[in-house]
Amino acid sequence: MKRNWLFYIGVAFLALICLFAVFGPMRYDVTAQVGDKLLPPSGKFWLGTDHLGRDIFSRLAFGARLSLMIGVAVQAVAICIGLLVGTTAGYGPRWANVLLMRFTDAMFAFPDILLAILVMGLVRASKESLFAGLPPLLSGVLPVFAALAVVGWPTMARLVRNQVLSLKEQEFVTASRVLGAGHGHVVFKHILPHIWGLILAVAMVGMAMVILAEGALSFLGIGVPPPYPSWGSMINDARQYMAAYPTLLLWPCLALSLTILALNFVGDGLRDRFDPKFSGRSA
Amino acid sequence: MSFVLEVDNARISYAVPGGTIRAVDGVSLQLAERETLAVVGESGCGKTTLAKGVLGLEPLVSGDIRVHGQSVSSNLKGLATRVGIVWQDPYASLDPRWRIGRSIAEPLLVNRNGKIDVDARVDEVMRHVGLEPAMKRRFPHQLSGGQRQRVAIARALALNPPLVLCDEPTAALDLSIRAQILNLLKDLQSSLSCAYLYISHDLTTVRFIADRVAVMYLGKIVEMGPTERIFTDPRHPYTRALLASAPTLEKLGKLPDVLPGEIPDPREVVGGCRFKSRCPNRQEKCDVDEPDPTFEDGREYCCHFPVVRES
Repeated sequence: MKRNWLFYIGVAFLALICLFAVFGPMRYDVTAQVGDKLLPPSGKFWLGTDHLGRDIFSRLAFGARLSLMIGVAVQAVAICIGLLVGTTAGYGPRWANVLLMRFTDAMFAFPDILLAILVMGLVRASKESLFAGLPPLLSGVLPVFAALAVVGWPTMARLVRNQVLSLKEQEFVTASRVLGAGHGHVVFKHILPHIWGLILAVAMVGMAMVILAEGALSFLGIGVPPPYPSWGSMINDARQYMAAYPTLLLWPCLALSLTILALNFVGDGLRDRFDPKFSGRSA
Repeated sequence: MSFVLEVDNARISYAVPGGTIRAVDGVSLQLAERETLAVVGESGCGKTTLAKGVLGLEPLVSGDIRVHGQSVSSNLKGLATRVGIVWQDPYASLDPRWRIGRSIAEPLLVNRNGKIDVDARVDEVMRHVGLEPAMKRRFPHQLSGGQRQRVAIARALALNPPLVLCDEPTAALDLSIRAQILNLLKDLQSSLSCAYLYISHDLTTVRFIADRVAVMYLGKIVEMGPTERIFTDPRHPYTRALLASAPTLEKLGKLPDVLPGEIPDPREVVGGCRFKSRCPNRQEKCDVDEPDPTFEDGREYCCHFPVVRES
């Protein structure tokens, strides 16, 4: 209970970021020069302009939009794959369990960001054929999304598998089986309802990691392609002007770290609530 | 007479590191309609494994278990209409996220029978076990231990099975509530005419509820017979030791007599009588020959040198 206020701070900040992401980019075209270069904050440009004369406030908001969308989309895919694979491994035959565990072991042994770069490389190599005809922003974002989804799902699958493994040994599951319930009934009515909360909590923390990874990819220049702004690429751009214009660096860094902090607060708060190890049995 | 439960020379074993545990090693018993047979024994004697065998949760190595004439298999479909089970701990056997009305309705719904009005049946069976149908909307954690066990009994009886398996149904309950639940089980038996296979290590409750008692030791029934005869005049030295270890009023203040030693490692295959390592009557023959059951006016026991009542 003592960490409850952190949870609410996190929720409030995330709500703010969402509003920012929806309405912030509407002021200016985020890819075009709208004023002089490197202007200080003013009534016209709330956070000033960057080295190409683009409005920083709008670009920051557009970055929030990208980060949140990629975060949500990647976690949605991770939950879908994780549920499917994790439930199969946890409830299904032994070989499925062994196969999944060895596979995710291998995935975990490989540094996430390297794996993401590898996937990006593969997707980019076949980009012409895969994403031909899509609008440039989409064809730039999709490889990032694909790479992060590939990196992100094993965590979720493992979580689901561990929970299913322990839940299926519970007496109420055996009791239901003995009453004549089929496997589908047991999985969907008795096992999965017990892990939704935990999945949500882990997805929040996972989203923070996805946003950080997206930032890292864009910082390295292989994420969301310019001229579209992402927090990572904004940090990279600002690097050259660090000494003279430190605020250029400050805003995207602040946005990135506060969002990640807020997601972690929310994730921890949810976990305290749903993880049986923390809260015991609850209704 | 027709039997609701027939166990023929059933064997169940577990593979463990270092060998196999023959948890149930050639058990035969019959249970007639409306009869209560208690299976008693120390922890690890195989009584719970036997129950799992009856429920089809553990495959038989050999032998046969028939419930209402039909062999039990790992396919659990339809078994619930023939055998209900009351688990030891109702807190564990009820889904904590399900309202109790839904838990009681579950057997009716998964064994869907178009003719039955589920809601009405839930109300009816709740009244049978002494619960207000208005409590349907509660969660298990909102009930007392006794009420939870009543829910578990209602769930076991919802399909009106001829056989109900009770796995230490009172072990998790307070002494005062224990009596209520035992009386409830007895009342239900006479009104619903079901048979109980009652698994317990609590000899006091067994004496109260059972018509017959089967004493298990290391996977085998060593003595079986009418309750009063077993309690007052045991033949097998193990039965006698088990009875002597139960606290009674006469022995108040004295430590109960206990058997020397522990149950031997079940992984070792014991030649001869399986009780020999702890038996006070052990003789040479016991090391070589495994005793066959001796039948004696309505009871059976497996011992070369049975106890005779001290006069």
